[in-house]
Amino acid sequence: MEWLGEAGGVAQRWLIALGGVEGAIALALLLSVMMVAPGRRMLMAGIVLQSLLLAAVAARYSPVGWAAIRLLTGICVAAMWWLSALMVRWGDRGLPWASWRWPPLSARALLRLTLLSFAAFILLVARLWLPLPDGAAPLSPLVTWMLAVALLSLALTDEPLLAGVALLWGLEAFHLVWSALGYDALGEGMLGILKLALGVAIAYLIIVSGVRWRRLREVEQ
Amino acid sequence: MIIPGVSVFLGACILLGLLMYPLRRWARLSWGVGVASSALLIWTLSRWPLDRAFVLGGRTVLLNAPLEFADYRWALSPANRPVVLVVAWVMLMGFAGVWFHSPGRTFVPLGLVIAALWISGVTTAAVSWVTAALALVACLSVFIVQAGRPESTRPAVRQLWWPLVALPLLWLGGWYADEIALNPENMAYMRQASVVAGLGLLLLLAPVPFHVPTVTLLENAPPVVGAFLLLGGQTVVLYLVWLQTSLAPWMGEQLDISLYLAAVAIPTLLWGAAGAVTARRVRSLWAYSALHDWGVLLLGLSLGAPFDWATASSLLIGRMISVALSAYGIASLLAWAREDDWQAVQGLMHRRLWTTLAVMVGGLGLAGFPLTASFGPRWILVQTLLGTKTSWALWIVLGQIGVTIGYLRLLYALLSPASPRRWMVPRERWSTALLLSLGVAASGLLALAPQWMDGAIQTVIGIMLQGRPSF
Repeated sequence: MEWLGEAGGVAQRWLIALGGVEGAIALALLLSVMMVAPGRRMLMAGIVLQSLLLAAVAARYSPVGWAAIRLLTGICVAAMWWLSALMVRWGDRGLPWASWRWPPLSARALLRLTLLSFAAFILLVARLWLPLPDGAAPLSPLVTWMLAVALLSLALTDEPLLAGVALLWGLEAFHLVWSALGYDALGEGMLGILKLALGVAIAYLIIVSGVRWRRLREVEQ
Repeated sequence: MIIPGVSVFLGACILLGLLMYPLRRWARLSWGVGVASSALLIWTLSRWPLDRAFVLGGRTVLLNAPLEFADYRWALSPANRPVVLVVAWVMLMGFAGVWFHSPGRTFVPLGLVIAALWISGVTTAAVSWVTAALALVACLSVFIVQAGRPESTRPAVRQLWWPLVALPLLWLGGWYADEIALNPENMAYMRQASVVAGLGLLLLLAPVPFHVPTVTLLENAPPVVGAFLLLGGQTVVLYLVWLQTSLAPWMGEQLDISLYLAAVAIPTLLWGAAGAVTARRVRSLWAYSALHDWGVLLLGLSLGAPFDWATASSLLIGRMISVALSAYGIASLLAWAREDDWQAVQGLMHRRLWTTLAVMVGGLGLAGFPLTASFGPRWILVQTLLGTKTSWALWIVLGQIGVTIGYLRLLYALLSPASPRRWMVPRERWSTALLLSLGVAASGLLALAPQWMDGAIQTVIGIMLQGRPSF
């Protein structure tokens, strides 16, 4: 961040301050909201915000430059998915796989909220945090929560965008652990490439899925 | 300057893939390039000595010279050469299958890039790269599984599951293994490395209950694409199992690998048989039969796990022939029919004899039926088990009966009197009939003379017995 001068220094301090306990709690809450209320705008804004918070948490364990690359990767993925979702107007037409509206909460959102609350209750009461290696141990509750939300979300749907977001959460959780375990430029790069590859694959599937539903609706009409 | 053989193989596959992408509209050209490049790869790998140089475009190429990038090193060696050869055969099988029914224009270009990733995976001793290659293949496979068809995206999405979940587990296992090197007395790290890496490998092996992506793939994707991704992916995963257990021999002390493999193999082969008995579509029957066969292969692997691969190698060869033959038959079937349920294929044997024969012989091969390619290895496996673990042998036979019943139900539908509408079904092209009959004959000949497989199996066994991979 030296090349950004004074502004870079300020940004770096903010980023590190954001990556504390408050940042982790905000991230956990953000993921929960994204899972319960998966609207198009919510998901895209959520991915960008989650990338910012993850970069802030990762900045405590790895160079800030790498955290910035992580943020850029997240923004790229969100941009790809946003364009694809916009192209097929994902969630705009009351499609069966994206029928959530605000207000009121649909049964689908209610089911997700119930499952999420149940998972949170079990994790908090039984303290079932993943036993991570020493270097990454402080991240254990956050990583466990991210993985729990990802698994729940993946179990609930095969819809490309929602499944893609869940897979991205899983990768991000591991990326956080990997950053905390030591500086590994190659590993960081490979994980970044993998996230972008996932982004491209899911963006393609969002379009195909949208076209399919449009045709089905035309046949019904 | 010497160019490593791996660079030539990887570079050629990727460049051809990139070149063929804009030319994909010319289906025959695309098919020809795919088949020719795979055949050339097979010829080079099976005939050209690893340590003899040749000149290509004014540059000297040496097959066993290493390619190094960052911390990774790729090289062809006597240890991995047969595995690369198997990948090349899978490429040839896949690209040749386009002849029967086009699985989409992007298959050959992207298939070449996927094959390059598989080859890069099996020519390195770095577990982290192999898992990354598998994850990248999963992302790319989405495009050829969906192939622009406005159908359910479920099979494509599910291909992403296990490679992306297994990658963190295997990388974490690798991190623990590195820590063990620094602190060899820490038994907890050894245990954690074994558990985490073992779980990652289990997900990639995809036995029951992790079988859903595999079954969905074969049930819904174009048959040739399904067979290509299934066989290529499982070859790389088996190589990964061998690599992991060779690099970390203490895994065998921490985990009873043989017991765990048997514990997942028996439900897998029985679940596959149950699915085959109740199937009502040709592709469902094929998918569950392949699952049953995979369970038998895992059981064979469990006999001497992790170091004795003799049984598993022979079962793998039979499996590849049976899966490929079934895929060709079903592809030829789908070239004419849109649906593949019992009613849609009723009476088809009267009009498309070789197509239905390929489906039947390939499928019964997956059940280890007499006079099919898998019969010999299955027979040996059952004989071995009868002397040591009789109940396991009985489970296999029970599973075989289940799959056979499934195929007898299909045969009944195929032989039923055709409705007047079926009388108009066109017969196969002579070239299709010739290729399918050759496949059926090859399967039958291997059943009658299984010693023809000995050479290939002995090579694999010899390599596996070397223990640690040498690169």
